[in-house]
Amino acid sequence: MAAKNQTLVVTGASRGLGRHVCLRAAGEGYDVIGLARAVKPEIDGVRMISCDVGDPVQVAAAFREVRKAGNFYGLINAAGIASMNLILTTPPATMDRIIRVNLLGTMYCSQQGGRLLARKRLGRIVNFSTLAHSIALKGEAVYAASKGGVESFSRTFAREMGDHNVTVNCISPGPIDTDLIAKVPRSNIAMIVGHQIIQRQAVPEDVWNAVSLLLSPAASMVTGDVIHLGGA
Amino acid sequence: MNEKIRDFVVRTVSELTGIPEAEITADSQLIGENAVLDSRDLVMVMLDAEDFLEAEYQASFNWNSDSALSAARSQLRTVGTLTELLTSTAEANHGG
Repeated sequence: MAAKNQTLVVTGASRGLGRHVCLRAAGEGYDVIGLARAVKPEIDGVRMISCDVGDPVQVAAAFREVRKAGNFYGLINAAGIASMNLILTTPPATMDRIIRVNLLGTMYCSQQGGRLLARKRLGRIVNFSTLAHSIALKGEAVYAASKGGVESFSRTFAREMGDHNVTVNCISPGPIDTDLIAKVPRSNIAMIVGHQIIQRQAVPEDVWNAVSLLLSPAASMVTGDVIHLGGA
Repeated sequence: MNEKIRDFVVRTVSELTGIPEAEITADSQLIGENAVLDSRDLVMVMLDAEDFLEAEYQASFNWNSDSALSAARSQLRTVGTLTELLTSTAEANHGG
């Protein structure tokens, strides 16, 4: 069970996995602050703050509000974008956008959130990678690179935050039916799931279960790890 | 040198390291080979300094600024240089 009066910040809160995590965390009794560029539609029990995680100024402003809210305990960096395309035909602006949101956004939020958690000497940071990185998925070079960066960042950041009793971990799911993969053909999804040890497409609740585990006091010694949903 | 800020720096370093305040001087090194702080303590000094400036002087230290970070790196060397950095930051913010 979640401890009452603990504040979680969830990025990418308006849709997909971020929205699901917001809903489940609020249902478990966490005080949830959702960061998203679009703060509509509202989510019951979740305070939404407009924030582009790829903009460090907006991120700093958002975390000033988080600090005012108090009892900050955990950061879930769920914001992510993808654009399936062969690297030879991917526009530079698309590369920039994916790296900025997925990798730099995770870093900016981790930096601001990490400062607050270090002060309290307690906390959790959960980042998101992807199976596409582990299997070098064709057509996802930029996305996979951004998430590979997140994994590397998480392991190193975990060492820094270990000094402050804050754990940093990564969850690496396979394809989950959200807007992110809405345009990916079903045959491709089946192929990707085929790389998993457990041959079942994960659902958002599988992600929440992993997040919930990492947030729990029982996970206080788990850090610098990457949890591959379904095994990879 | 601002005495209030110097006292804050000395007190903070003492609390983090266990070194008596009387033994901490302006020349006590915060970074480098003979530093009294490890990397964790250094982060805590910076975070505490941020809180102190905000509470006492309504001044904010923008760690995201490249120039601020550059200044901090060179001015974090000793208790004395850190005190000077925080004093100038407080005065700059106070002066508008």
